[in-house]
Amino acid sequence: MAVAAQTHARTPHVAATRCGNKYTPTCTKPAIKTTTSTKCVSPGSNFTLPTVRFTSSAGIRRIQIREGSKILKTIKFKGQGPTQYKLKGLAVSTLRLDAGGHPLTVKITDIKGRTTTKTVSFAVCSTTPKIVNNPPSAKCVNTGGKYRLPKVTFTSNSGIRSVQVRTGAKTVKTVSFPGKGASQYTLNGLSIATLGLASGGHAVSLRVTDVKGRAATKTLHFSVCVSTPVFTG
Amino acid sequence: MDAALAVASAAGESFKGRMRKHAALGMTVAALMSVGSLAAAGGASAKGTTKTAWAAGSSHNVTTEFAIAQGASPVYRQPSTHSGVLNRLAFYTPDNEALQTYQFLGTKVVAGTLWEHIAVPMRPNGQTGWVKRSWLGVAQVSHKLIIVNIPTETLTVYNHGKLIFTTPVGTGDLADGWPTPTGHFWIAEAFPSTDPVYGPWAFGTTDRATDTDFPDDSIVGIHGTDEPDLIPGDPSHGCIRLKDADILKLKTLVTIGTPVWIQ
Repeated sequence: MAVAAQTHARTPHVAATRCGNKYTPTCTKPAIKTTTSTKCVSPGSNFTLPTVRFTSSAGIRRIQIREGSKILKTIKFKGQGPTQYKLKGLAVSTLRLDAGGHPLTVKITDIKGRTTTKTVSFAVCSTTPKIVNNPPSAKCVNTGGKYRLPKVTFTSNSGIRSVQVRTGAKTVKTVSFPGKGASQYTLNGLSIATLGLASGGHAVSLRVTDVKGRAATKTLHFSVCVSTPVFTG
Repeated sequence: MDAALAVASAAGESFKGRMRKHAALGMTVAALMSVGSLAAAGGASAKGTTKTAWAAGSSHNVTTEFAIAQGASPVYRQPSTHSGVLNRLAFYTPDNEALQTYQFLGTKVVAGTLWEHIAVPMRPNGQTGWVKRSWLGVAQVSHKLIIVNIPTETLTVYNHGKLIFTTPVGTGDLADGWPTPTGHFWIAEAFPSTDPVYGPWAFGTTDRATDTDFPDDSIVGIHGTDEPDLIPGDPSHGCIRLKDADILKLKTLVTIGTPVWIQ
């Protein structure tokens, strides 16, 4: 009596948990299941990876999460390894990430060396640029002297297109950044000539514009010395 | 000095600076905090901290914090936008000789908003009010202290509580009705003078004189003089006069934000 080919292979009777033994040469590859969030993450706050479920009928040897070439997490299993693993609540810092999408590569390797990878993307929200300055000197500037602007830092997670410094209608400094722009620009001790300025208070306008056309402004103040006190003597 | 006495001293002053007295006061931190919460009594339901305490004759080791305004925001009488408006934050001093500084007295969190209790330079002397912390710039710190002693006609400078300079001064003429107003103030301006009457250098304080005939709110200055023979004495309309060599020395020791206690 002829024997069916299927009977010779003996595979139909092998349980999944025994996949990878001599009876199951065509064992299935490991699998990754997860969801993606459509909400962007505020710059500086952590992105929490949605729950990721890893399965392998042969047994999991290693799980790895990467952001580009940077390895965020590696989990290794000894021996046969579990057939299922759930990764929950992995926090990814966005502190140094630009606005926009960022892919994370999730990779599982089973004990047979077979791998499956999946990309989980998230986005860092694009925010308006910011201007932060050191405290300016409250002291007046001698007539004809130079006002030294305190250290001012302009930041944008979308990219800075331009920075402008003005006193009244006069533009003191303009800096432009072509292409994607700079994420940060620092003005450290810019000197502004006061020659021709009247004694008393004056304002310096700072403006930063990002590549998306959003702008932030800030006004700093300084005083040119009157040099004739009107105190009570 | 015990905490109760500190309360009495603080309440009796026309100005309460946010100053951290050091161990020499003999007070615990808890006592200081207790003094502060009494001194800064405002919205009772809010959480507040005030590091305020001093007394005449005790340590001169004080730390003072101050900042300039970020905008012409209102200064409220209490840490609430529903309370009365005392004044508005100013960018410049009344005579435009400097950016206006505000000395910190304490903080209070009300409904999640951080409020700063500040000394407000205005008439009458000793006014205090509340602003949101975000309305002021980065806090700057001073560890120096100027004490002007009217009875002894001297000015003394301390750095971290250590005496570093003392000099005779001329003060306001009490007999003519122009005494130098006493209280706790700070240096708000520092600039060279081209008028010999004021010597080569002048500091403007946040003290306002009793003689109101001078422009720009009759600021009490600390400056040089073209009449050095009148020092020590009480020749002025409220200002504190130093000999020119002494004002030039003082120029190198103190700057805007340094507290000035006139007693």
